[in-house]
Amino acid sequence: MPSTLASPAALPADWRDFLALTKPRVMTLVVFTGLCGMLAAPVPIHPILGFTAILCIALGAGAAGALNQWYEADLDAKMRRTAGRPLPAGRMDRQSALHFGVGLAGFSLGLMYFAINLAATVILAASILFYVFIYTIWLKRRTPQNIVIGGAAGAFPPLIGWAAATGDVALLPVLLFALIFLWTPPHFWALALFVKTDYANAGVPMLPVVAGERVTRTQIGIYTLPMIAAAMAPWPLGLAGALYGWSAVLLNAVFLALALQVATRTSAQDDTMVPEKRLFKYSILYLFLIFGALVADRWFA
Amino acid sequence: MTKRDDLLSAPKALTESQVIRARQQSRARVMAVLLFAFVALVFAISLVKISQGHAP
Repeated sequence: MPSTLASPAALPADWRDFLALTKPRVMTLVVFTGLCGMLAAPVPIHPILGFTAILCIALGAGAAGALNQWYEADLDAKMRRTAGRPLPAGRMDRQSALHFGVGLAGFSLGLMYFAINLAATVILAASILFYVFIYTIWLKRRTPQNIVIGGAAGAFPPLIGWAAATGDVALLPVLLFALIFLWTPPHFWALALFVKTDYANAGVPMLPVVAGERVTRTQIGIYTLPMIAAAMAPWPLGLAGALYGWSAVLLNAVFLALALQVATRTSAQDDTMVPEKRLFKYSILYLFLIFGALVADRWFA
Repeated sequence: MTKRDDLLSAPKALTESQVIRARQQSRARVMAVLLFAFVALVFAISLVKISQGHAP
């Protein structure tokens, strides 16, 4: 008997919507930095175990993304950038997203412990819990420092990759953690400057919304300096060679130039925010290239 | 427009039960592939662990 279809949320969610819950685009950066942390480690890891460790990092990041979207469905519905996600678009019920996120988190941790080691499992658990409880539930709606402290969640993958290979943590992966941690504010604030209205409409206290553009631009400039220091540190400390060192000099010089351009300008009426968009895009490329340079240095230099 | 949007925007052609059935089938297929891959991965991990001397 032909009938009108029920609302999409009443239907079983499509598997592609579960995939979308894991934020696959964010996952690529997480997987890449985790892989680089593993490849930079002095101890080789069996390819199957290495693949499993990276898979667990990806699944853990996916679980954190799903739980983030489960908790923030109301905020996502108010922002143009995120309104098409499965929950705000009504293609999935919240209970399914919660079960999927918790299940995936448990699965990734179980597999990491079974296949790799306790140290990597503990750090992976810490990163999932930090992202969900500290960033998503506690900080995001309360303070403009949300992405400063919350940035730690995205900084764990190189530590996990290194721990998967060696079973412990050393200075180099801690520096890589610091690099991503300090990279997050300029990266996200550049984004926040050109999607400020979206965040304001959703009531998220991002720095440009709460403190204004001038303060945000200054903070981008300020955070870029310790980020560069963390990126350069492996070279003088003898943890990386000249290939990494000179690559880092070049990449950081470009980052600094773009960040200074953003830090020193003032947007006009109907500004297209080209320098901010340029900094945001370059910051992603920067992270890929600097981690790639580290691995190339460790393997080929 | 994606394939599933086509599916949803064609209420005259498909009944609700047909759409539900199609979704269940596609999810079951994906789940089957993932479970098979998981079994293969656990088998491979076990072989590596045994070869590295982790066997009891």
